[in-house]
Amino acid sequence: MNFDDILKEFEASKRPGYNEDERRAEDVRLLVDAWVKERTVPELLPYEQELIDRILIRIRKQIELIEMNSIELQTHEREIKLRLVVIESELDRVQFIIRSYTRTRLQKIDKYSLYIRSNDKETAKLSNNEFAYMERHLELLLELYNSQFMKNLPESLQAIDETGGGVSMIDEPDLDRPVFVQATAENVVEVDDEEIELTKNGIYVVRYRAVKDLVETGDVRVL
Amino acid sequence: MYGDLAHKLALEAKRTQSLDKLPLYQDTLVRAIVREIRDLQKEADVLTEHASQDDDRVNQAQLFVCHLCMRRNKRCLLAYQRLRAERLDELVWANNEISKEQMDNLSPQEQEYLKKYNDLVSEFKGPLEKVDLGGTLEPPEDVFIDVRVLKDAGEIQTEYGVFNLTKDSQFFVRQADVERLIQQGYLKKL
Repeated sequence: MNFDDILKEFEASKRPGYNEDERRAEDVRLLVDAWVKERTVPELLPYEQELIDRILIRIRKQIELIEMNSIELQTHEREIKLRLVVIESELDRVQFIIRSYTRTRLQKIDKYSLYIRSNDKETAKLSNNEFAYMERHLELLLELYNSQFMKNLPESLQAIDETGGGVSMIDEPDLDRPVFVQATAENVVEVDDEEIELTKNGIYVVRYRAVKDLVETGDVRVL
Repeated sequence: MYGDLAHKLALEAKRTQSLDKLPLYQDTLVRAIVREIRDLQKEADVLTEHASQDDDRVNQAQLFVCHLCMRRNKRCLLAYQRLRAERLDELVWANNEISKEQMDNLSPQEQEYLKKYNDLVSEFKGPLEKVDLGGTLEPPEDVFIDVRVLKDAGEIQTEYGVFNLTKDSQFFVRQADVERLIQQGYLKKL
């Protein structure tokens, strides 16, 4: 999907003829986008709560539809079989994407939980469910460390979030990791005091830090 | 003294990384390292007391080495335990039955952690049950697949009828229906 498509969609959405089908298809596109983004960038992105909620409701409806129709199948109505297989394939795919999206997020949350907790802006990116998970998982880990050895260490050594002494105990996302991006608009970014011109539709490998803001505004797409 | 034991533990952690199953929890080694840290702390305390005569370079260097060793020991302990905890997390997500020998290799505290983490994951999955979070992370290709039965698994009921899974037989079934059985090693995808 390129920039023109987005524009076209935007135009379409303003027309009264913009119907439910198109909106559904667009949601799936948005989901794929969110999934690709989450998997490619090093940091955690805001949770797509509304989008996921909408899609989950539709998944539930589709599953009901399949269940209803497969009961009928046994009473010799076989014409809809092909339709069901098509629906199921698509359903499988969407379920897979949500699954992979959620699990990718959990991986990042587990890895950077101390960092996320220390920073309100990061915490705001979590869903309620994810937040509860992070807190509880940390609690369990601490319990484990404490019961295994930590409680027997001298008090001055019991912290797990020290940043002094040359080595920080808090893992942070590596924003300097390179990412592949495609520009959807003209922009200039700065990398190490050097200016780099992004031309529309050009594909680049840059440090994530340099294009972080543009990813947010949608001026570049991660690949 | 001074980190030899922690080195052993680090090697053990490294070895663990290449194993399929978690090896036995190194209880004695962990205890010995904790003891070493406490001995070092005592030594550091004594050194701090004697440090009152200013500008004693030897004393300062000794103290510094003590602190370095303690911190290094702690890091090795944490790294070891963290690695094991991550492996336990993976076990929970894989959702397979955990074998008796694997369980025996865990410390009681780790078993406790495993149980609680399992509860946490089920709780997290709740609101998203329709997408089966524990399912495969391989992208789906076909709705229906050919499978061969590796172990007798009895009868399974699906929306397309009942299958009797006897060893070495072959079926054309809906992937979603048999996902669990494939994970558990009863069936093999062809």
